[in-house]
Amino acid sequence: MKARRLHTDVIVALAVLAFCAGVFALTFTFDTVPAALAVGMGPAAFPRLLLAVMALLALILAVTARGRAEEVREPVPPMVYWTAAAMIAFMGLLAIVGMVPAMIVAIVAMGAMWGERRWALLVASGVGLSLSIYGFFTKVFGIPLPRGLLGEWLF
Amino acid sequence: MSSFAGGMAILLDPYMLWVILSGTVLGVIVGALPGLSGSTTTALLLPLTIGMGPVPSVAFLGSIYCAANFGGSITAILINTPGDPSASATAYDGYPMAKKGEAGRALGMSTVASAIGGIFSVMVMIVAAPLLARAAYNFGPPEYFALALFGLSMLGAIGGEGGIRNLIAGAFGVLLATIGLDLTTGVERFTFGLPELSEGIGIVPVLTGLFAISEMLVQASQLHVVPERLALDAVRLPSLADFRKCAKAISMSSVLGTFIGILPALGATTAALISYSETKRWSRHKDEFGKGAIEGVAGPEAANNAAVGGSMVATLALGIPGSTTTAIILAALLVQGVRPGPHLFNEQPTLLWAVFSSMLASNLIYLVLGLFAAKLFARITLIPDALLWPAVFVFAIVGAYGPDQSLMDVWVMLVFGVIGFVLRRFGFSPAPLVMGLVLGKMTEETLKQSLLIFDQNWLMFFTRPIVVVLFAITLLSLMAPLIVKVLRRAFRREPALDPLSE
Repeated sequence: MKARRLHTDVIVALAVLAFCAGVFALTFTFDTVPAALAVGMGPAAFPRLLLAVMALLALILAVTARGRAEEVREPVPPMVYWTAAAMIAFMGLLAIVGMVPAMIVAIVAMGAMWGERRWALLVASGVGLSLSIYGFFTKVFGIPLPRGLLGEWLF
Repeated sequence: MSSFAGGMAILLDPYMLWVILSGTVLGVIVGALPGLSGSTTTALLLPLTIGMGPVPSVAFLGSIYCAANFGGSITAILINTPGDPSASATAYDGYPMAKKGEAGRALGMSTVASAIGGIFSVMVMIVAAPLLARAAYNFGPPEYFALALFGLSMLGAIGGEGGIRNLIAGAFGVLLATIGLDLTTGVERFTFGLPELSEGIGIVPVLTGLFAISEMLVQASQLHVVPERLALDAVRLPSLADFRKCAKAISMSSVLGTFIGILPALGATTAALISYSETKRWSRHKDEFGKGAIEGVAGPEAANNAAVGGSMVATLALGIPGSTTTAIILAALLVQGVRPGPHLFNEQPTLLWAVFSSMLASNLIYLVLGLFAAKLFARITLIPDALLWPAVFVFAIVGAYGPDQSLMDVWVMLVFGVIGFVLRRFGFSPAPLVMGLVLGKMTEETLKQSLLIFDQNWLMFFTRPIVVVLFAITLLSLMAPLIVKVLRRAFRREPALDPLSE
């Protein structure tokens, strides 16, 4: 016998309830307030109130799901995962080579990943934009950008 | 009077004019680019404004907000893809007009209607914001708590059946605002021992992640979609006959858009959709709608720009954002150390007049740009996604890093980018989360202060008449979807267009 698939709203509601339960448990890890300072609402009261509201709303979502049209979602295309992975890889690269070289690589690599094959244009936009950002941040705003392990070692 | 003169004088300052002009040009450009909405861009560029000071900062972001709504109509008309969500109703008739070879006429009407709606709402803002602020001048913490609750409850009134999701996202946003030190007891909450979180979660990285990074992931899933582009002959002024035909739509939509804009959370998209519906309802040429009716372009365009001024009224006078973009502008003011509200009208009137005058200038600038350079702006849609979005990514990175020079903020941004993507996939919009985050601190602080005033007696809220009225409106707005459903069932009538189902 084929198992009945849960309505998306019910799945969402269950996820929200699980989240609320987890965060509610976290509120018990807050430091205790000395009696002299314990006036009015404690530090955990407001978050708990919010979690109760969220849980109530999740229950309403689940209860009212019946009869509501189920939205058909396409599977997430692999390019989304690749893009997210490239973002994480950027952070790793940033730690090693610093912000500016990592930005150049990110623009060229992500552009190529998304189908751009005009390499000269990609490299020009990567170098141009990254150096403009570097100039703007360091010279105009006086904000130094991270130099990475390599930058710290070389300079 | 001196503050009025001081505010207007910013238009004589070349630096301020440059700020407004660049904000307006940028607004039209990003408005025209599908995916990069006004709210995404204001979130993305908010860090750049930190060094500017409050007046140029709010003038820059306000100009982007004004112009992006108009810019969205360019792509709505030419490629049937609204560059900004607020232009979605414009596509219903704008694109059919372009298909008939009347793209120039549609864009001309869109430009003029947008400018009229925008200027009208700024005029209303000049009159209404100080009045509202004066009325709210004696508000205490209980009234502000009720007001914040009303603002959050409006999230339930938008989005039709998605209203419950909006409320959950709004509550999640308020919960995020509780991260960090509890101000009354000094106890750390949800910091996981990370000192970077003890002052709370950075609003800039959260905004950038939710809007820019999650949108980039959405775009990554749509790389195969190639929109059909229609040629634009030239933008021309609408004829006198066009004006006569659209005068009622423009005036009605300007009023409607301004009013909807004033209501918390609703914003330009809802204003445009409701106005389209009303324009059609009151038109003598109902049969033309959907096939290229010029009134179908004029109505929503006047309304979405009118909503901009309207949404600034509540934002400046009460500190309650009228839309997602004004929530971001409010965040920008908070970052600058300026807390919008009635007291601002006494303490920094020049800043407020500067906001009014910069928005007025922005409306006039895009009127000129729209009429003379729309063809150029239309070409911006030709920028390949593979060049645009990696550039957005690096802007987002430095934007999140810049304010506190913290790589932790960059990680927060990336995490919220993924959270935003997942939320969108499951029918949540990032906008309510932002509203919750912006209103979160105010909600908690005013609730705690109220309870201290009331000696922890919750029932005392009901002894304050304004609080009772606001609670009643809150309850009404929470029940609105249910009431609409019951009324619809009772009358058994299909609406021309259900704006709340978007």
